[in-house]
Amino acid sequence: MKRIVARGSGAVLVWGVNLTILWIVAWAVFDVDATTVVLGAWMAGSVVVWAAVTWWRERRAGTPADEQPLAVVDGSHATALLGVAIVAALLATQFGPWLAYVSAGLALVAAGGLVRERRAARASVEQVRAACGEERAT
Amino acid sequence: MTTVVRPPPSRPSVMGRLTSTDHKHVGLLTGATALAFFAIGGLIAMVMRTELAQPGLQVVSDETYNQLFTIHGSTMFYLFASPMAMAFALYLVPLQIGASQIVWPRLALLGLWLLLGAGVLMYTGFLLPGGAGKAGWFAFDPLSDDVGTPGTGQDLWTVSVILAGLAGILQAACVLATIVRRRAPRMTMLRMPVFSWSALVSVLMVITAYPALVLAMTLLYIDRTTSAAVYDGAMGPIVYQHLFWFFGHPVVYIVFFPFLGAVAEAIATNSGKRFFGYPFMVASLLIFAALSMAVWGHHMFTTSAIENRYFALTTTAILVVAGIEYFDCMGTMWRAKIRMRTSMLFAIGFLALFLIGGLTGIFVASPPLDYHVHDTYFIVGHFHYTLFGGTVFGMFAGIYHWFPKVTGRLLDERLGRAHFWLLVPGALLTFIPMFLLGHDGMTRRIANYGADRGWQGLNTMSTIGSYVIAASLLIFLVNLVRSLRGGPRAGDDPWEGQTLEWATTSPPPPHNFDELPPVRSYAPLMDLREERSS
Repeated sequence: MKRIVARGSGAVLVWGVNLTILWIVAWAVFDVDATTVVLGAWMAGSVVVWAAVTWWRERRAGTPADEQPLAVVDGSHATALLGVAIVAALLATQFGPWLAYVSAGLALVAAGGLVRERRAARASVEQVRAACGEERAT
Repeated sequence: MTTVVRPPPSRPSVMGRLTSTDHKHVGLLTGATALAFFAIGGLIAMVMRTELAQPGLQVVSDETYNQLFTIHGSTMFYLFASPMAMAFALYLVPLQIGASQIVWPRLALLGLWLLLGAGVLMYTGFLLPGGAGKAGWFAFDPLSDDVGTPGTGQDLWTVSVILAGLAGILQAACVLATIVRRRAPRMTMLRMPVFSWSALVSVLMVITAYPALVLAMTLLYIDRTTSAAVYDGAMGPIVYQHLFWFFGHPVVYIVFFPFLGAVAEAIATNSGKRFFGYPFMVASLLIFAALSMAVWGHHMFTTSAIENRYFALTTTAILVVAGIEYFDCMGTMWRAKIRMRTSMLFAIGFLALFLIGGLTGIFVASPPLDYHVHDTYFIVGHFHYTLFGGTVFGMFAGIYHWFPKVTGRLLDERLGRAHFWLLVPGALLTFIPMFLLGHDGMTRRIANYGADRGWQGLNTMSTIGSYVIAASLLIFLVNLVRSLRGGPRAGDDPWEGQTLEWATTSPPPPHNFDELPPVRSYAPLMDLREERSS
């Protein structure tokens, strides 16, 4: 058990197994209603699937903190703008379609900003990789 | 791990802070937003308590009172307690596990902006002709449909809850991914500090339970604004309650676990000992989290639409795992040289007051007893002891414990003690009378009661208690401002901490650590101290 929980996916799995046991008890021992069965199945099933995905990703990525350069993002105006766009989109259902157009415009600008930020982050990681490669070569 | 860091500007602008993706900035801003809403929600509570001090209507109308209790409850759950739990996790988890940055920092920032939007929308309702939402923080259907509660205020309330739910999911996903993917070398799951474990189970629950809230509210919104009639039909309201309480009960633990973790850290540090029974604590957290996902039906005992025995069993079983956690906290203090700092006082206050909430929980876990006190002030007293005793006392234990790390300055201990010694009697005076009033039949959500009911004395007592709480919080505010303006420098590790966050500067640099100490257990700094002394 200790070995299972020692991995991130293991902790999620143990939790999923606990939920599954509770769901089976509800379903098999007690005469619970259909909604309880469906909600129980959703929570147990989703957590087990999620543990499997996490385990698969862990295996693919190797150790949790391996020797990969990591670009630390220090700010993102585009994300803030996207937040405003989402709020505006929801408000549009109350205050009319004009707000939906404003929201769509903001979302578009935000999406452009996010693409630019990602490109910049990739470029800096590539720079570091190249520098590390040169160091190793010398 | 190689980290690419661009040096930040020496003093970031307001916009710079609001768009920063540094997990510390996002955590701090989320926490500050939550604290602001805590103050507003508290002021609303004082207006309500003032109204209830005497029979009759003196301060507000019935209509306004409905809005006040709705927005008070909604603020405290959606805008204060859940975001505050996420704020602690966002700020501290990466530091405790030795990560330089959170995974998906933009999502965490987006969560903050959605939370701000949720708050603005919820309170905008007060400016509209029909007023703010007034169907309670749970908004049961059909009370909350367009016939039961017409008006834009209730629509905005529904949208704001959707936004708050999405914000919680986004920030929780970031914390979970960080724990799974960014732990420092040799920081295995079973070497993670207790706080990080408590944050982990909390975010696991958020990701499972919050989608039900978002779904319930989205369907409610569709129900209110279109002719879809989603919750119509004999079982519609029951399905709504299922969806709502599938979120509504776990959220009580979502806002409890991180503060239990904070209390555990404060107790271990102030006792100068490793946390007692660490593996049992981890196991109990995982089982507790699973059980608390399977108890939502106890809110529906009186509907006769659920299997009461199952939910009574799962609810009562929680006592066993909660008992383990209490035992571990007390085991840590056993024969320790305890330093009675303010954080320790609040940690002990947390244990004592949450115990009252837990013990009265046994009453309401039993269907026959629940039938007697359902929808009365007994329930109000019970959940205020779990939320005020658990979340608020745990939050203050955490704030007094980690304030020096976050700001680099110390809070005043004398003011801190005054804050504590006013808050404890305030909480007892406010919430104990509620048990008696509830037992006597005073129902929830009423602005008025007859003078002949004999409830005035207990209500006045409760109102005085709420003023005492307000006075204690004012002392905290003074302490906070004084310390931020010119409190004594804290240094990197003023308390002889045990976990990695105390190994870096106060406040930590943008990349968190210049150098990480070796991790051999869940108390790596204690290992180092023991190694040096031997």
